[in-house]
Amino acid sequence: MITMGIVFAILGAAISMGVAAISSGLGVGIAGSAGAGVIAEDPRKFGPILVLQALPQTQGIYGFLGAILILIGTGVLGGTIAEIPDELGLAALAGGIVIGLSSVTAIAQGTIAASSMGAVAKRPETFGQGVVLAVMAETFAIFGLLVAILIFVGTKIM
Amino acid sequence: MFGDGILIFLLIVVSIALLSILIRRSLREIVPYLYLNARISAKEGRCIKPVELEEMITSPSVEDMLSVLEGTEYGKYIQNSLERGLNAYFGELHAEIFEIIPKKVKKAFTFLIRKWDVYNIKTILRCIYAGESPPEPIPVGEIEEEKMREIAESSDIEEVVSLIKDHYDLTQAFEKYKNSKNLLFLEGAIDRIFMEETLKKILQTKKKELWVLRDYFTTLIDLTNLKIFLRAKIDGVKIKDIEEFLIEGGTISERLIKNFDDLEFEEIASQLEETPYYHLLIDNIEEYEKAFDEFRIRMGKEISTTHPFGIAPLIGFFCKKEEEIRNIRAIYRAKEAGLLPEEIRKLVFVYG
Repeated sequence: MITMGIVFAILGAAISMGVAAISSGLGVGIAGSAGAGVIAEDPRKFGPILVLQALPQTQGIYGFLGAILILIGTGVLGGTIAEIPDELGLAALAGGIVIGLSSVTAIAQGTIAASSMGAVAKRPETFGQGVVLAVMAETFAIFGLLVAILIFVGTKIM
Repeated sequence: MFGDGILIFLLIVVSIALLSILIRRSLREIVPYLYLNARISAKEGRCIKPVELEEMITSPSVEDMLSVLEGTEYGKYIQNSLERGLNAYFGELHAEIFEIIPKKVKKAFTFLIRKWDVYNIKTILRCIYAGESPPEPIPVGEIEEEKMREIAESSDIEEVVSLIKDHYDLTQAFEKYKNSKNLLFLEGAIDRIFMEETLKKILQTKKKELWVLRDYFTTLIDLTNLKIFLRAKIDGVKIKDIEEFLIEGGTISERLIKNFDDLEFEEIASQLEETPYYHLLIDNIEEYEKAFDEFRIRMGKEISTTHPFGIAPLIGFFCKKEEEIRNIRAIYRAKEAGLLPEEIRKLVFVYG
């Protein structure tokens, strides 16, 4: 029987993946628009542009990871749905929300990546600095994932 | 618990909706310009480097200078004539950017290119006045290329005035010109119409991203007015004789108008304290016109770096291109005149 606990946990997984996917998509889209502009002028810069455009995708991976952890931890993925108390379901939901919200950083990362692409187009030697600047936004997504994992471990979801 | 569950679900939905609105708002001013700004950056990356400029300056002959230029973006345009090539390049560049510019700022782009109409008309007027045939107009501006060619073929100043009437009504200024034979009445009137009308249109716009244009045009007005004040002081002209040439909308005129007749040339700067023009004038009192031009270019760059998304990078880019083309012309003419590299360096402004 599907309890409210399970519903909360599934909701957590949905938020983790859904919000992360939207954010990463927007981030990649922002960086991609700028990337297309640079490549239209100088196709030889495709390599560094691709690296910068890929950066906002990582939040999507964190969201996917968070969703999988919740689904495995609650047994939804294994096919043996455990009797999950509502409190535990809420903890899984909280973890999913943390990952989902922290993945919004992908949008800011996309904007930074777009600016860095402009800088690379002007001065190719700034590529390294551009990557470092864009990665700064990533830190908070990693913290979010870390906090979610701590919640899952602390509440014995995993 | 079921009721609590619904409540939590609703809370999440509302929170996500609010977050989406916030994100949408912050992206609205960035996203439309991403492609344009990236292309502008890439184009800036292909501008003539200081090393290439130095190579042109130190090249032993005009031919050698041109061969250095052939290795740049200008190469394919300058095969037959440098002058025509530079004009063709500049025209194509503007047309290309007009194609990719977001629809909502296409109008703002015309504010920026109107200055080339003014430049072309003033050049035509000066040539007719001096009895020379005008050079080919720069194919950029709000006035169509064909129309500008027609204006350039005018036989006298009155014909020019009647041909541009739809864009610049110079009827009153022409009457004054007829009586005095002083071309300044017409040139001043064109500048005034262009800058005052453009600033008025910018101030009317509610688009936040165009506010940067307001700062740029206000500075243009200030620098133009300041040049008028300084030239008048050098020529010993009173304020009542220059007032009609002053352009409204700047930030410095009021105080200067009030005290102008009592001031010596060197004292004009003292009226500009607390403005960015104070040190500019104090440090460059001998060559203030060149310093003002450089200030405008630097301002364009500053605007483009402080507002990385929007129309600001366009302002910076065109300032840079304009200066680049001016440098090429200066070096070419200096080479033709046989000037030494150290003399040529003084004519060139290296945009950082």
